Formats: sequence, C-alpha cells, structure tokens
Amino acid sequence: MRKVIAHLFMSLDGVVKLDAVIDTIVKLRDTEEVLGDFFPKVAEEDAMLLGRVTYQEWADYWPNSTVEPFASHINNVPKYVFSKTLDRVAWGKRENVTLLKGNLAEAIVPLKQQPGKNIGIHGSPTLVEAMLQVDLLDELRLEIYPVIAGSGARLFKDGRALKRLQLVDSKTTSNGVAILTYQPDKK
Amino acid sequence: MRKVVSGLFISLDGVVESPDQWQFDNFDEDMLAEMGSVIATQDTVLLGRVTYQDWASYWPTATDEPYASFINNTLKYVASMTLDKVEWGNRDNVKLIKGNLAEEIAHLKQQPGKDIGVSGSPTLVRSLLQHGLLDKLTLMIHPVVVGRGKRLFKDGDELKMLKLVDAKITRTGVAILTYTNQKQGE
Repeated sequence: MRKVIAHLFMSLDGVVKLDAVIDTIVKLRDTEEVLGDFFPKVAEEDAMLLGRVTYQEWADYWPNSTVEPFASHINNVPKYVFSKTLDRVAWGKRENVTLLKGNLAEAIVPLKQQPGKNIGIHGSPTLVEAMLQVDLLDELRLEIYPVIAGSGARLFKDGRALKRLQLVDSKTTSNGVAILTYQPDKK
Repeated sequence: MRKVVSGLFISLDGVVESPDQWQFDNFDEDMLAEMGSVIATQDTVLLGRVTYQDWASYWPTATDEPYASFINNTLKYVASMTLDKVEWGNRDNVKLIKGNLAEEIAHLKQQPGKDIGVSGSPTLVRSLLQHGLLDKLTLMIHPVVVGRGKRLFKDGDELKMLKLVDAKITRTGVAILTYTNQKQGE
C-alpha cells in the first residue's frame, strides 16, 4: 500500500502558521542542507493531498509559479483536496485536481490502495493532525526552525488521544534546523 | 560567568506536564548518561513554585540515583511570589526568592560557581526565556503526541530567534536539542 507522508515547517513552540516569520524561515530553508533533504523525498511522491486552507492559498500561486523544482512537481502530479465545504476545485488550466469529501478514511484509504509511489501532504496542518489521529498517516517529517513564534496556529491540538511514534530519521543543519521524521507506532 | 540553564522532558506536541505518564522506555541509558553529564555542570538549582511543591514532598527521602543525591545536596532557590517559607526535608539548603527575580539571578550569576540549573519548572523556564534570563535551553523531545496537559510554550509569547548549538538522538528516539539566545551565541 502507498504511504502518506506529511512535510511541515514548525517553530520550536509548535506553530505551523508562520506568516509572521516567514522571511526568516525561507532564509533558513533555502539551503542545500534543507532542500537537499526535502527534494529527494518529494521525488518519491507522485500524488499530493491538500487540506482546504492550503489548497486555497496555493491554487492562486503555484499554477503560475516558476519556483523550481517544486512548481513543476506540484503542477504536474495529481492533487486531491480534502474539504467538507468546497463544491469544486481547480488548478489553473489543469485538470489534475480532485475534490475528496465525506469521511476521511473512506476518502483516503482507496487512494492508498491504488498503485503508485508515495502520497505527499504539504502544508495542510489540520488535515495532517486529523490523519495522525485516525492512523492514516504513515510518516511525519517536521522541519523544526530555531524560533519561538509566539502565536499562530499550532499543529497539535489539545484534547487528543496519546499517540506513540518512532523517530526514524533525524538531521540537523548548520544553521539550526532540526529535521525529524516520525512514523506512528503500529503496535 | 556561570550560566542559567534548563533541560526539560517535552513531548512532540510540546507537553511538559507529568513526563512519567508518557516517558515509557525513553528514559534509557543514553538519557541517563545525558542527565549525569548535565548535573555534573551544575551546583545550584532554581525551582518554580509548582515543581518545588511537588518535589519537596518526594525527593528528600527518595533514592533514585544519581538525581536524588544531586537535588538533595545542591543549594536550591525557589522563585515564588506567594510562598512564605520553603523547606527540603531536614536540610538547610533551600532558599526563597520572593522579590525581583532578574536582580536575584543577576546576583547569583556574578558569584563564582558552576551553572545554575532550572529543574522542571516550565512556567519559570518560559518566563526566564521571555525575559532573556535563560542562557541555554535543552529540549528532550520524546517521540510521543501526548494530546493533553500543560505545554511549555503558550500563545502570546514574544517572537524570539534561538541558536541550535547541540543535537543528540538517544537510542529510543528522543531528540535532545540545545538552544541558546541568538545574541549570545556560544
């Protein structure tokens, strides 16, 4: 079965909505050490899953972007948007985006059962957290930036069940980014 | 000058409360070695009220080594606006800081000695960090999403850049990340 792999940037205080410090994050991220870890993983993905908020932000930006190699990747792979409220989705002039509605497991499991490479989730923290909680996420790759953001949406919510994970890969860069990759414990 | 340092057990979702409930097998040999090397660099401990109250009823008679000997024999300061007195079993090595914490810490830092370790005490750690009084913060990030409980960082903290100065991974997957204030570097 295909794996679903989430990639997120997070501050040390767990914030994933990092608009206030995005310039700093971009500067720390735009290095061979971080991107050299990220892009080989993206190359193993041939589909992308997005939450509503990230989809709405990105559908305005990426179809016309020339920021490579991510622009070509995101514009060319089939994309699936999970949303309970949208009625239609579009991606520039392309026809490779599909809306998934209804029950999360019923929407995602058939995708995982299709043949193919990994399915990447980029951004989309609400979806990532929901998938982690219902055991649909296979891998969580967090880039932890050396900043206390202080405010902004956090990845992990209060009032959830305890989930044990395994740290399967780790790397720190010379400018202080810790890249930690976890797999939920299948026990 | 001696430093004010903190090391905290923390979950991936930032929870610091009751690590005994989610530490499982992560207190392994690597962690024990880490704790040993940390306490070797400290000769003074700073505690917040809540941690003090929890610990003062446990550690004076505990035998969990090497920490029991360390915490019982080391000079301790408790930062609290509300307590009137502090005690540690029948030992005479705990003092109350009631007044201006920044001044007291500045004074302590000027005295000769090893580092001043803030043990547990996440509310105090957060406050020291926000006020630029913490020189080094080590987060021992456990591979677990706890889902509920008190977190180290809260909404409304000030934006702050830190510098990652050390990283280790234990055999059971705890990421031990050490940060300093960016301006101080190290």
